[in-house]
Amino acid sequence: MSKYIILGVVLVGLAAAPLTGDTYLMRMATLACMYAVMAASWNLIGGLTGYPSFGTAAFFGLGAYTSGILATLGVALPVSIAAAGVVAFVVAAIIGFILLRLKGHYFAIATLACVELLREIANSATDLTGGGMGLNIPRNADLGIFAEASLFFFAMWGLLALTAVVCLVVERSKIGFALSCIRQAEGAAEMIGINSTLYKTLAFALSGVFVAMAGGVYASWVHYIEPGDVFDILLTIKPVVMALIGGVGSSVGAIVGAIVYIAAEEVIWRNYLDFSSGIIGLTVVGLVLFLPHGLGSLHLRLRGKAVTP
Amino acid sequence: MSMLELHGVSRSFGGLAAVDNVTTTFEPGRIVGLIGPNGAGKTTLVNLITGVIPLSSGKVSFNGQSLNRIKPYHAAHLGMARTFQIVQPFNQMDVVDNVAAALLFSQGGHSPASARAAALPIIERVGLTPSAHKSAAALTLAMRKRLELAKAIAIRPKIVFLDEVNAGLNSAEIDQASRLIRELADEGITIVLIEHLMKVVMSICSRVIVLQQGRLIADGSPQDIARDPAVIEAYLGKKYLDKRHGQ
Repeated sequence: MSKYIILGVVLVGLAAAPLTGDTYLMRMATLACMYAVMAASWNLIGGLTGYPSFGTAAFFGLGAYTSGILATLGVALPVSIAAAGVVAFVVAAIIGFILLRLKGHYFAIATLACVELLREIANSATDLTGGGMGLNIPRNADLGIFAEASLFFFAMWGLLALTAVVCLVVERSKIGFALSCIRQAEGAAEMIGINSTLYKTLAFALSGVFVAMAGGVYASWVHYIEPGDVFDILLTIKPVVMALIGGVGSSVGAIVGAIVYIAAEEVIWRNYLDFSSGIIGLTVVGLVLFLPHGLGSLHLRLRGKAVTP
Repeated sequence: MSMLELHGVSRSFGGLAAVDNVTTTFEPGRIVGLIGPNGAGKTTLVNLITGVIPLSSGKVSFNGQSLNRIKPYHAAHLGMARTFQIVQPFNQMDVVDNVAAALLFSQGGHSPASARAAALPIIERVGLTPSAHKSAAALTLAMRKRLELAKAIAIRPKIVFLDEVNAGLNSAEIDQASRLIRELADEGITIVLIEHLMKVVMSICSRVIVLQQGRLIADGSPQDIARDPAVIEAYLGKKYLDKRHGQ
């Protein structure tokens, strides 16, 4: 029950950002929503199903380019973002069907290769994507700085709300039950009648959809994308770290982890310009060592209780 | 009519024939012992029938339907259950959820909640009610074996392969398990019992088949099997047999 309260508080708290009228704060809140979408999505395949995907950046870039190319053709923003989600679902289902027979490190490396593959395709298909020169995405209209910041903030925020609801429904449903069985003992799961290929592929495809939609919103938000930016490997790594911070296996944990990470990164970066990456790295190492089940297990650790994952 | 028919079933790993040209049939409601020395191919044969690994050659049919390209989840939907020699419970779930999962994904249905309710009588039947809400990781080996049985029962099987369900149990626990296995057979479920404990095999099986180096070397009543020279040779060696005949 408490996780619904935490999620409610987080969503309402984020939605208060525009009330401050501070565009810097809104930019941070938009970024926090974007990463929260990606961390919660990663949790579906990496946390719930136990397949450590490093393909998040592939779907982010795929979504950014799908939506960006459609926008240059004059397609409206909501349609282009929905299209990014549909394309990512299909591509993720195909990639997942092929790669989900690999496990552990092998699966991680294969998904990482997908990021490189899509980046090279985006680099080479100059006619479509602009290649290394990047792609300019036209503004819908000149709204003014604050109205535009609000538009993209609420687009990301709405996407986060949608992602959170879908993740929570999946966790509680028959699908989540099946994924949990697959994570714990895949052979035994098959033996009681679970079509593991189907459920794993579905989880992977769903984990791609919202990431791609976030990429679509991002492309319109920053008006210019290039392969190195939207297929950046950090877009793969950060959501994993965020989910680890929140506690692997819980979508609300992943969302909280994303917000904590973005806030910490910003504070550390502003105060320790020279050594910010080092401090973030040390913080992550400390968390994994002393709080391996994430912030979600903090109250158990403080009361000295045993933590079961 | 036989329920499960194997015809020339073979599987080799590289040059090694793990299961070699096995032809046999299984009838409904009987307890069949599947015995053989370590490495004889007993577990591999079960893996071939339930689709865990594909056949190299041969034919498997179940109630007249060919199972040659079957996947394990499909075998479960057709009514084939198995337990694992090395138990594989869902360790992070409690006993109820373990059995509920088996019910939910073999029978269809959409609600984990109603599957949990339906799991309770099955848990009662295998005697795990006092531990129903314990995590599977917290169970003793004997209890985990019973949990494997409960999951097998939950898929409402027509045939169950029990891979050494009695290994590591004490004699009271074995008696309990044997009673339950007999009950299941009385309900018309075919039981294929992979077992090293000859006491169990001799007391509850009506038929025993013996594998050695992947080949089926004997098939008959437990009494006949115990006297069969090929079986004695497989277990105790040719020297033992020569010595006994010399006396």
